[in-house]
Amino acid sequence: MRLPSFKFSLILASVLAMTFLAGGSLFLFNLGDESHPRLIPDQVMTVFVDPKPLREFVLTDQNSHAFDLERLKGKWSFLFFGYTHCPDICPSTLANLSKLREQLTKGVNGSKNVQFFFISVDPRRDTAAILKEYTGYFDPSIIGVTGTELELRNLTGQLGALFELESAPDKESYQVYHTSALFLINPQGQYVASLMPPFDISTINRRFIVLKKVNAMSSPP
Amino acid sequence: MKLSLSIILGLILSFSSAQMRASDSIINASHAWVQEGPPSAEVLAGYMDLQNQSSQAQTLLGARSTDFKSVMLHQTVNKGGMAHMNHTPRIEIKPGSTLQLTSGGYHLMLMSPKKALRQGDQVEVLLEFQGGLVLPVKLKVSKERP
Repeated sequence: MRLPSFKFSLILASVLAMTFLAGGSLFLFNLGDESHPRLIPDQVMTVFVDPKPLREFVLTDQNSHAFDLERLKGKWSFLFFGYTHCPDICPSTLANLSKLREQLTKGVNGSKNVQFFFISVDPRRDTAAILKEYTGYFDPSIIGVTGTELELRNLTGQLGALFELESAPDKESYQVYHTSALFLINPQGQYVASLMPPFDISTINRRFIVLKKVNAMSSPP
Repeated sequence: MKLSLSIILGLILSFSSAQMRASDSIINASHAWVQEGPPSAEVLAGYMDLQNQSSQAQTLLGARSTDFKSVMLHQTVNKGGMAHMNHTPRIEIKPGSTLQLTSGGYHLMLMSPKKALRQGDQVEVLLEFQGGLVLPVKLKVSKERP
């Protein structure tokens, strides 16, 4: 059990100040209770004050290259778990991811080090070629990824993301139930925030800028 | 014989057009659209606003379309932290209220389009209500809600 250091308090104070400046509301949760994970919950983004380092995992991307922890290092990564036979949540989330990428990267001050991944939890139907066509349609810079169920569970388990195949194997068009959140990994390969729909792009953009500053303070290059 | 046939035909036609007009004045459909998907997409979602303009509750029972292999009324719900799509057998619209078919909520699940649909295309769906009311709705294929 760690005691909040002076540095930590300084960062926290900065987060509060910057969030206030960004026009958002922010609440501290369980701050006095060290036995609980400290969260800064928000309607838009839930930020973990102690980001969770991810362990090794290996999946395969749409170009048949390995997608592992190394791929997440050095960049901010937004991950979304879904499947291509999903008519409602996935197309609207991918359309939103594309808008988010535009917002985050536009202009001279735009982020250069962000990446977006659509991870299919339906490897039976979603081959690399299908994923490439699907993500390419929404935004060619979103990369499709999948793997075996075991490989997928290794990553989803670390993030608390859930998925489950509809138990109707005879049906030609089975559903896949999945978490509809976005997961944000920082350039140190740590799970730092989750985002819940409906995704408010401009607020996410403001929060993200704050988060980047906080991260730069807590993990100097 | 010819005369009676044309009378019957005329009656049928006037009845069906009257029913069409009636369904229009009972339920008003607006912002009807289909989210464009990748060319190979096998399932798409249809969204719209349905305003019940009558003084009685109207119950949506289902939908059909010749532009798709099948159409189902669905609702996206959050169960145990996961998005599920539930088949919805009926949705009641109270008098004067509007039912929104929208992303993350109720929507039409449009299975296997007969042809690849691109932005600007239009499809027609027939909405079936309790009491035999059928409302034809034209949906625009689009990337965004119109």
